[in-house]
Amino acid sequence: MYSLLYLAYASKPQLEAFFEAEDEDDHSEGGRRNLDQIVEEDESGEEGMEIFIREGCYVVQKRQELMSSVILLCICQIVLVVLIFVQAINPSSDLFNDLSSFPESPVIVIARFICAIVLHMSLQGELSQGM
Amino acid sequence: MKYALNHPYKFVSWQVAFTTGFLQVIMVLLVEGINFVVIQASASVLDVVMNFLALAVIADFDNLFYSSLIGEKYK
Repeated sequence: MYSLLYLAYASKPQLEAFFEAEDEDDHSEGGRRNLDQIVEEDESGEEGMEIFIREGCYVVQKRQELMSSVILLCICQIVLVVLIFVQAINPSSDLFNDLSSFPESPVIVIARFICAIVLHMSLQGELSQGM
Repeated sequence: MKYALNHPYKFVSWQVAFTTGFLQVIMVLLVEGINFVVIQASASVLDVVMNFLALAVIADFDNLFYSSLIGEKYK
């Protein structure tokens, strides 16, 4: 179990040292002769792979790139929020005209307060997670 | 962001982890600010609630996206 956890975060030199130790112990069917096939760097030179042992064989699973998904998601969110903001500040829209007028009834003020508080509370967790 | 800065040895690339947290913080601040403007500009209760729901869904995009990717291994 310790070897599994160790391998999941191992770099290439650490993997080489591990497989050399495995060869000396002669524990597994894999080992040094398959190391060159197992330890392959990405085209970018990064070593983002996970290796675990299943049925006596070493199984390599490359990890997915996270950054592209994050950027795509962030762009989608920013575009949607900016579209809403542009509509709100557009002088020809009703939203912009309502910015300079007083609320017609206290019910609207209460609704605004509740919505603002609820969204603020729901976003507080995400903010602390990101920080 | 703080975790990535204090524990860079736990990441293949701590810069990516830091940027991920930074983008999340930027999005939260942006959604919160726009929410104040849009809610103030709404003239009826229905508009207030609709705008609030729209922004709540947008702010929850990341959780929806991540829930569809459970089981994937990331660098």
